[in-house]
Amino acid sequence: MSQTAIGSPTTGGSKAAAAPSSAAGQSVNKRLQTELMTLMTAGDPSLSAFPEGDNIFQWTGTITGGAGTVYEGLTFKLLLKFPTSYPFEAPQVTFSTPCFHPNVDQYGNICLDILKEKWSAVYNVRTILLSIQSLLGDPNLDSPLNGHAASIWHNVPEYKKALLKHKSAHTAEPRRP
Amino acid sequence: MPLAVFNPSQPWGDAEKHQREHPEQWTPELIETTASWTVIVRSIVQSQQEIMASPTASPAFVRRCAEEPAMRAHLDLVVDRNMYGLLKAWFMEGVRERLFNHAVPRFWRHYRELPAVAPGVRSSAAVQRRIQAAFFAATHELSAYVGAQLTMVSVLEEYETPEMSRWLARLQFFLRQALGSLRIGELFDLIVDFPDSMPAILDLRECLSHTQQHSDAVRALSAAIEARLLLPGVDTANIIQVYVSAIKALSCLDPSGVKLEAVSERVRAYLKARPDTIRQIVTSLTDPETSELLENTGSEAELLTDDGGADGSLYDAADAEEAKADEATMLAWQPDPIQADPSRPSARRNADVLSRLVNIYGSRALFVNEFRNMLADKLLTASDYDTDREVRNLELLKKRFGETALSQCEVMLKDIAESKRNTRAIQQHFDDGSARVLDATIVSRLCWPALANETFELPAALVSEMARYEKQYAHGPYMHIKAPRKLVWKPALGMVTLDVTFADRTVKNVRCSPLHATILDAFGTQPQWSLRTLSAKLKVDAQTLKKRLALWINRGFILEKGRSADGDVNYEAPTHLGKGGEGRPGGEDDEEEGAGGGAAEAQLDAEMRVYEQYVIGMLTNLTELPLARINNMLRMFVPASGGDRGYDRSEAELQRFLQRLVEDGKLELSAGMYKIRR
Repeated sequence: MSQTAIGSPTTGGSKAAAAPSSAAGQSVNKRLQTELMTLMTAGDPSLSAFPEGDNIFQWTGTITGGAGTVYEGLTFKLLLKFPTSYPFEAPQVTFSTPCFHPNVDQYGNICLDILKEKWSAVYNVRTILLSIQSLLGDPNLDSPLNGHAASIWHNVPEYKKALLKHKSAHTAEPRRP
Repeated sequence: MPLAVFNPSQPWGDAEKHQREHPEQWTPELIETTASWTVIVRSIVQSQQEIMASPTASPAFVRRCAEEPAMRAHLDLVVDRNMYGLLKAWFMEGVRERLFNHAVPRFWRHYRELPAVAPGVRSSAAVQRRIQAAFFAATHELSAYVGAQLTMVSVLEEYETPEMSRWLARLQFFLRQALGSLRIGELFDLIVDFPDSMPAILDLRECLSHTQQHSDAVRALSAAIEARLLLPGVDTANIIQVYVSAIKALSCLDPSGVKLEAVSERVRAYLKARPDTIRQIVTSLTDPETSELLENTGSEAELLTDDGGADGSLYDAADAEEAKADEATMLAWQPDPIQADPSRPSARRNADVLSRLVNIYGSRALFVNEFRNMLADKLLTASDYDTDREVRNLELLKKRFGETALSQCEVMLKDIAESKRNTRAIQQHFDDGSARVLDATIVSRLCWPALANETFELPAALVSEMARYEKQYAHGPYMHIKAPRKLVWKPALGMVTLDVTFADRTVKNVRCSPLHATILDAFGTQPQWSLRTLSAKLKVDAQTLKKRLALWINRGFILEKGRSADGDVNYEAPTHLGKGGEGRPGGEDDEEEGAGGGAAEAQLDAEMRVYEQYVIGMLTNLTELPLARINNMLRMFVPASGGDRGYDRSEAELQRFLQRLVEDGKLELSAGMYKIRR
């Protein structure tokens, strides 16, 4: 799968997912349960997500940076909010732990085409997580949200230093939107 | 009013006492009446005592009324003075009381001697004669008693319009009531011996139809069931059997099914709580010896198979017949009896035995699933491809559960038939005469229940045989008609028939599972193994291996040779099969149970592995959670899909499971919160 980052970020998680009530809500519920099942049985330790509480429409995701990238060994948390019209509309995905990355802004918004206009109903939680994981190691420098990160991306030692500094500076107070 | 002093239960005492205490109230007329009353009542009581002593003697009261004019005069006087009603009431009360307390129990004492021989044992002619004699004596005594009472009644009746029949009805009512009470007390035993106790059930039905003791019967039976059936020590199979008998007996007793409804509630709830109920029911459905459960459908099903090639006209005829039957049921409709619980729909009451059993769970899916599992077991352990009986069972169940519910089972049977064709076709191509070493069963994964996926190293000979089969399969005619498929072997399933040769003799046709056979094969090539080396060789974990070895040790095919210093167990194959070896009783049975339990355990483990992934997933993302939340989340997010039931463990079970994960170093527990160990 190819993903190209584009300029506009996904809108931040200001709108809470509506509680399911209709028959449509039931089928979304079922779909999410099935996705959870496949995700759990896939057994890939670097990608994981789980509903946060009693609401199956809001998940927390965890991804680990891919091997061979500067993000190797680092863990990031994500917040996934599914609309009731899922899977016909993309979920809102944001980083809930700080992430120093050319296509991620300071609020954790992610700039990823498949979460915006290239969304399709065949994508699922696993493919989203996979796309974000590969976005980490392979950013789209043409439409950065974080100009500083984009400018030093090619200078690996400096980038790594900035990344670790950014990470350690923020881990003290994990931010939840 | 002096009349009030004539208390029916104290026929004369009160009157005499009253006379002594209040002489002023007693007119000469009243004194005269009292005297007559006392004479008559005394005479009746005396007669009653005589009857009790010897029912065949004619009562003195009747004799005296006929012979002594004085007695007649007394009776006339009492009747003249408007005391007739009182006398009758007193008399009836006495008759009733005696009937209950003396005559009927006495009758029963005789009657009970009848089944003195154990039921089911063919009794000799002499014993039968004795039984008949006892029965006649008992009936005779009772009828003589009733007869004597009636002659006394007839004397009193002369003063009224003779209504013998009414008196008779009264007596019959008392008799029925007494008999009914007795039968109600024995109802549970009657149900247990059901088809044999049919006459007693009919007695009771006769009684209940007159005396309306229904609620007594329900109460007594419920109490008996509670006290004697629903106990932890009773086999589920027995409970089901009694339940089935109860359904039959009570539907005999009370066709409307109201009583059954009232009684069965508890049994159903209890059975529902037992874990092996479904399996027991399905077993009894498919076991030819107990399949009388299906008898009402059985006949229909046979009809159906008889005209197997039914054409359209036959179907039309059947439709017409059905329509007629519908009309008949419509016309035969009767309102629910008065004891019915109006909060329940009456449609359920007419269900037959099987639907009642199925209704314990309220859903057919569970039964169908269990049947599927059992069918899979049976098909996989059968070494020939003979499925006639299974096909028959399936057809019977289809009649009950519908085609769609059992379509998967249909596919399973079809798989077997197809495998047979395939295997034969493939074996034809092996022209070295070694055919029939391996029969493959090719199953459609989607339609079969989850199959155990144990892997181990099969003997080399078998592996090459499998490879040959696989190659032939890939080129066989099968591939031309079907989309190409790849064979995935499941080495743990199936059945192996072996001939085991020792120096002194050969044991033929030993049937066992492939893993058992593999173990034995290993001992064939090398007579001594330690548990560890064998486990490494066969790639089976030591625990499983030890369990499987037990079968051969039991049969004496392999000997345990003590432990080495590091706790490893040594085994050896004997060269001669000693006397104690072959067919040690119970050996086979142990194994069967062990294998079944192992499969269930394996499945449980597989389920738990899924939960483990969920637990790891939620803890990865949500950092740390208490037990109750984990339990809640599993309950919410592990869906029930297909044959799986979804998550249904208790919190305690989950705790044990999590504890195991903590011990395995996967999780850690601190301050009541579980989290991933880094």
